[in-house]
Amino acid sequence: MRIEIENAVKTFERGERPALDGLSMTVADGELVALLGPSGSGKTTLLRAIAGLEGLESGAIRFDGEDVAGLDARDRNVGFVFQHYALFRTMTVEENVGFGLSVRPRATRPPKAEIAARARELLRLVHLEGYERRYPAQLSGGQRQRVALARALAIDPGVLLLDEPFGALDAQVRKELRRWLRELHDRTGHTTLFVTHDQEEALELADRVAVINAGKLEQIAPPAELYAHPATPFVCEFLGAVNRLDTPEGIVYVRAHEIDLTPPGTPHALAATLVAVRAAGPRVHVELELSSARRIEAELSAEAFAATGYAVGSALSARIRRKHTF
Amino acid sequence: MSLLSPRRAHAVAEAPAVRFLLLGLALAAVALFLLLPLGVVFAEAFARGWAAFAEGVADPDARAAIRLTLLVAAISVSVNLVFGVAAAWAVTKFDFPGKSVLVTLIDLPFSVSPVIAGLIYVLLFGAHGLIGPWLIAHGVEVIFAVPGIVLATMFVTLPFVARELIPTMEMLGRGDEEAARTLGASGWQIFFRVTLPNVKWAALYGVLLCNARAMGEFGAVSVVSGHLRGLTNTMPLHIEILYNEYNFVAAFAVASLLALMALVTLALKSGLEALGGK
Amino acid sequence: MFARSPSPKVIPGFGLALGITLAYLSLVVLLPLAMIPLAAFRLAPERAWAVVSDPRTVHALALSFGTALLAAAVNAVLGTLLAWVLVRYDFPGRRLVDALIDLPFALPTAVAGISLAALYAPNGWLGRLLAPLGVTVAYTPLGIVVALVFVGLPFVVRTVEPVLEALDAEVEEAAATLGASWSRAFRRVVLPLIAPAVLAGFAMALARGVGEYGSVIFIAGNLPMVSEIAPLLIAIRLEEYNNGAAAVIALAMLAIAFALLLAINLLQAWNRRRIEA
Repeated sequence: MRIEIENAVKTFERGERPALDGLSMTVADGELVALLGPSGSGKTTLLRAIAGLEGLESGAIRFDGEDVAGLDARDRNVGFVFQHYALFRTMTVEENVGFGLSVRPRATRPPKAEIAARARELLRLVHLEGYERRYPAQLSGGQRQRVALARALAIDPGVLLLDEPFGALDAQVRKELRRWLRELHDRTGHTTLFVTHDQEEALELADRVAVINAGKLEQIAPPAELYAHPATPFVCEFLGAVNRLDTPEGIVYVRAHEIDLTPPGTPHALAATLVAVRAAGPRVHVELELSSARRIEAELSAEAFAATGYAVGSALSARIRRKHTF
Repeated sequence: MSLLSPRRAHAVAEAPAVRFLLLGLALAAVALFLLLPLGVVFAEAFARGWAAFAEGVADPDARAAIRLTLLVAAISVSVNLVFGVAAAWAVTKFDFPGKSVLVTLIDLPFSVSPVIAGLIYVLLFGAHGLIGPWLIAHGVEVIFAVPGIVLATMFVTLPFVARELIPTMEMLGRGDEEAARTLGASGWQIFFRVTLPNVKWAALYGVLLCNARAMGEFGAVSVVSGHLRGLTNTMPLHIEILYNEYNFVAAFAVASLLALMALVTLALKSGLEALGGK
Repeated sequence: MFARSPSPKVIPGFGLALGITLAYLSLVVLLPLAMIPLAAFRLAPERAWAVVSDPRTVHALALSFGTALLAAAVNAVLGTLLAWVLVRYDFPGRRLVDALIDLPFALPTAVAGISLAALYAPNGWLGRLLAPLGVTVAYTPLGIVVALVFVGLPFVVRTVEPVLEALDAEVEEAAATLGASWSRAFRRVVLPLIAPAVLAGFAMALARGVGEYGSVIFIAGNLPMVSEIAPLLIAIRLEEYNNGAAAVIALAMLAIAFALLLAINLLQAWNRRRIEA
């Protein structure tokens, strides 16, 4: 299903900054799109608006070209995975997954046995066979997450919406589920949108990443393009450690890992003094002071840094491999 | 754990002598103010043995009072259960202006004297009240009749269920209902299959307290009942009449039934608290 | 109809739930309560004043508020003690005592009333012991206080208990490491932290005590100008079909109670500001 958002505006409290401020974007059928932005940027509001859990002040949301403004959340056929899963605590895992089918009007409701079979099939898909009779409270965070996903998939949704799907999980489980979600998407082909504030998660997982800031779309592009050609200073600064330099030709953005440490006097490089070194596992962060007294950060591998032989106090040159201007 | 050890380690621990003194005072207060009044009810009820007790309870007027009390409690508890659920649903699932005023108004009956609760219905429905004369002319008796008793009881017990449900549902949030909605559930399906199972113990807790108060209400009911024996006497009113007639054994016999109801209420309440980890 | 922005009511049932709530609340509480000012103001001002300034009314109001204040004060101390013991100590029967604290909420007031009257009557279990000491409880204002202590007992316990449970052990430890003795640490560290809860419980016990009827009238003796409480006077005026006078006394009661609770709320707000500043 194709989703178009056109000029979406939404304000929660009168007089406050709008949560959505004229946001437009289109998601193609079968695409996996990440909504990336800082907290309070409006990304969750957008997701909830698509699901019909929030209304818009103006603008339109269209599913396959059809305006859904008049459609209740109940009738939009979206699979929504809530940040804290919102599993029904008084129902078993199987009842949770089967809920969407069991509340259908009598005419379209499958028989009980069929609902149970479908629930078990979905639990197999999310690798939770054998957990049918458990209650949500008896599951780990990652397991709950997968039950929530199975429950959302059970209604065969036109679009799958996930709000910070890995936000409440620890780092290890996060990584695992991330890979698994990608596989699941490739297998089922649902149009999927997920909200995240973690750039690594967005870049690794999504076909395209929509960077959202202050209720507006900054840029939507495939991860590689987003990284190579950020459309706005915000996108550039939001993705990775970036130095902002005031130069005669204007403001220039330079990524920390796109700076080389070269011997003093290197042509087309900036004279600098090394003032601090922080080693973070395989990467080393080096703080440099330029002749203007401005400090910038460079990032390189531990081996590369060792090979330079520099230490705190060394005079050197910072050669900028690549810069971004807007 | 040894007798009188602190329940958990506290840096600021009083000396053992102080601890014994405080505990002694507390237990003495419980015995004096709670246990003794409770004990007297049963002691006086059986002061002249089983037969006298049975006579007091089996008296036709007593039986009529018991029936009326059960009827009044059943009506007011069910009405206030529906109200409490509706109020909690409106207050916790939606945002609207004036919400905090509404919550304050729901608690209002708790700060109004029971006698005033009775008074307002007399002023409204009494023979000299606002619409009482008109109603009486059309054959509808509210004051000095069962409807007045039910109304007064409904007033004093109105907040119980709502005030248990509101904080519970507030804490649970709206996520479950929203999830159910996106999965295609109707309003009633959400309520009966998702919300109600989540809050059933809190609702039961409210019903329990509501019922105890409904069965025991005295002041409000006393003002509107007219004390017609066998007709508009509830158990507490019947107790008052017997007591004022110096029929102490019968008065305490009926009172012991209500005291037993109170004990059962407390036991169930403790059970619910243990269950809900409240 | 109340939506500020065109936000859909995602969860259904808003109209129905709010409709039931407002209709029921209006019919059962608001409309009937409006009868009090309505009936009171229907009385000519000088007649209303005569009712309020009648020494019997003044005495009844003073008695109701005086005894309720005194009983709430007793409950503040007793309730704090009970909460402390229940939260801090482990002793056999702790759970039973904990359950029993709510007895006054569950026991019908009329039952409590006749039972207290029987206990403190001159020939009762306690009255007999107190008589030689020259203490008369039954049929005096003291009896009213005893009854109000009974009905108000759970309030302070139940408001203070959770605060004591949550009391940060570190705060106490800090006080201890600074060399404060137990009593000093309690006064300076614990008491200020539980004071708002004690005051909240005090206010609830007070509000309950002012209007209490069933548990009081049996033990009070109900002598005009001695032990006749305001709610009883209202009931008496009603029995005399003097609806106007009953409404005026009720209005006076509600006004004084409102002023008292407002004062307590202001005190709470002042205390909060003092701590946060």
